[in-house]
Amino acid sequence: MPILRTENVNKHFDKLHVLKNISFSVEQAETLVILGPSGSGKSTLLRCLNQLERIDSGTIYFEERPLSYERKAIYRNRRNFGMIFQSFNLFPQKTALENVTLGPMTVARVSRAEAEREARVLLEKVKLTDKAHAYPAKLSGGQQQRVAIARALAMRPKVLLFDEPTSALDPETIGDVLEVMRRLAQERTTMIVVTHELGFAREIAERIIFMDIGEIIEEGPSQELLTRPKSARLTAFLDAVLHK
Amino acid sequence: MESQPVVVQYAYFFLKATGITLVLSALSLLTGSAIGFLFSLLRISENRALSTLTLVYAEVFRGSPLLVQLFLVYFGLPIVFHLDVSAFTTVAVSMILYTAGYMTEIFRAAIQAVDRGQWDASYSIGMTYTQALCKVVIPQAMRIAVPPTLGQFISILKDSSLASIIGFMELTKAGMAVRARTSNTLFAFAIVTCLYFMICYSLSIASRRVELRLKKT
Amino acid sequence: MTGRYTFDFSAILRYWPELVQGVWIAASLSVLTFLLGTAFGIFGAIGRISRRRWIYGISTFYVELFRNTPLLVQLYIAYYGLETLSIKLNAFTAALLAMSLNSGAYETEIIRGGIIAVGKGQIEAAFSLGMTYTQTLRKVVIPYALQVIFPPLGNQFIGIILGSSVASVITVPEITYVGLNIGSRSYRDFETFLVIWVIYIALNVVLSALFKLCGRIAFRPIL
Repeated sequence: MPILRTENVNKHFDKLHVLKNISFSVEQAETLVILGPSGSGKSTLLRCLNQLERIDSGTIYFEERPLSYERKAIYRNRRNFGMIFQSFNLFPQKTALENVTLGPMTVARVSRAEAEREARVLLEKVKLTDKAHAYPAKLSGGQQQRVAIARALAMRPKVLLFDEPTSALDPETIGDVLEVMRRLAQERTTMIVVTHELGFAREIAERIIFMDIGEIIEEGPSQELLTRPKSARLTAFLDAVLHK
Repeated sequence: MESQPVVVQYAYFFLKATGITLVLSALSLLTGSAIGFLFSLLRISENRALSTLTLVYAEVFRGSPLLVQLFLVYFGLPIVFHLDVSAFTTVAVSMILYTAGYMTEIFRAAIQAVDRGQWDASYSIGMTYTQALCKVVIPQAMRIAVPPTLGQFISILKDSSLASIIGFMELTKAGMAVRARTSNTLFAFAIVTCLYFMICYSLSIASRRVELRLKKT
Repeated sequence: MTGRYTFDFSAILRYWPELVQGVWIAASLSVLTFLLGTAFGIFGAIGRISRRRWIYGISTFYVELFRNTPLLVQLYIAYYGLETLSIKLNAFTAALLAMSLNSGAYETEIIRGGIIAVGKGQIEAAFSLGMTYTQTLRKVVIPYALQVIFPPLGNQFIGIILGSSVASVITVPEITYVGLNIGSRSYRDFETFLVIWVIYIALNVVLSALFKLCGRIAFRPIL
């Protein structure tokens, strides 16, 4: 049973049809990459999964149960997901540790001692133990993103959603984030990663879905998709990137 | 005028007072800006004394109520300087000094807001400080200064109402006069409020449009 | 009348108890104005970011009305205007009403600016963690917004104190009113107002420094 499944999802932004009959599924412990050029709708699709955006038609199934749009249900559903943003979105006047503990303490009503203990474990996991009391302004982009990952993990989500996680990072620091994500994949975390960066996709993906202009063009195992593209649009995309 | 219907007489009276308010405010803005511009140049100069003096001037005139400054001029000119001046002169002098304080800060901030790189580029091609300032920086600073200056003009228009306190006939005093004449307080205040609102609100909308336009280029 | 003017400050300095009284009245008027104004400002800000047309409309009308008309006129309306509607307020109350409505309009924009400064990103991050609307407001938006609005609100308070001088016109016995009083009794209007001027400047300097200090202590650096 796939942990997440969408069926004919459509979304419009005013007159613009940004998601056209999107149907796909994700298996547990899988690392799925949604690849595509800017404006393909992939970020919007991701944000529909944790209901930051509302869909116009179609259904999203989590563990084979359709998502409800009732307010309390949305709040509960979001706890199944953890989202990591392109611009990190850390809370600026809280330390790294406080960023990680805020969710559990506020939402899961965990005690401060318990939350801090967990937080330190997670910060160690992302190799930032010594930065626990640093403020985001004092951290590099890669460090901020790793704190963001720890923050998302603190809620023990079943699926991690990455929205262009490395697009705002220097090439050198991408490696650190990549390493954390590889470790998570090894630990059989279900991850959906949206990116337009081919190199990154290649490194991390088990399966790739290629999107363009709101539609799914192709999908398949990453190796195969990238070396033997079947569609003209994917071929064009790969060519454009390789010959930059 | 006496033969005109009452409504027309009052309309004429209020319009005249509005005109005086506008003239007084414009005069204050222009003269105050001229002084403020000069002071801003002194403020950013390397001469410590001049810089501090103009800083103190700006802080003092921005940091004290206009009404108090008005009274100081009102009492000071005849008593200390033995000058017998009209209410208009008193008000004008006071508002010019007050405005100059604000304009000093506005121009100073605008000049310093011009990108450092402009100075570097000017120096690199051999310009002196004065040339860089006059030919490159100030023109750019002027554009940056437009929105806050418009905002200051709107403030001045409202502040000009204080002139009524020493008997100068501008819009607010006109309202008080009509109130006394007609014993119809609400009518007088309503007209005055509407007139101020129409002028200031339209200017404020215009200022926002100008700001957007300036941001685009 | 020629010849130099001889300054005589002693004539007015003996009125120092009245000056202190005036400062006290000005201070209480200002503090109350600020508190009420902040209350109006919070409602106004919520109204100004509301998506419901009529709430947005009313709050925008309030802000634009009080920001585009002079405080003096607002004071006159509160004191003389309301009287004709059989609402007779004493000078202090009338001043408080007019000044707090006036300040509230400006504070609306300050507080709204603080809320907007928080930015979508942080709010989305909080939602993604499963936080409810209320929790996000309390734990993420408000702490950050407070930090942003503290300096402009401090300036607003100082603006209120300086603006309180206009209340003298409707006979509120604050500093400027006391000054006019002393001046006419001592025939030393100019010296009196020099002293009044210095008092306001001193208030400004001291309060500015105080606010800066408080800001530094209360808020850890974020940038």
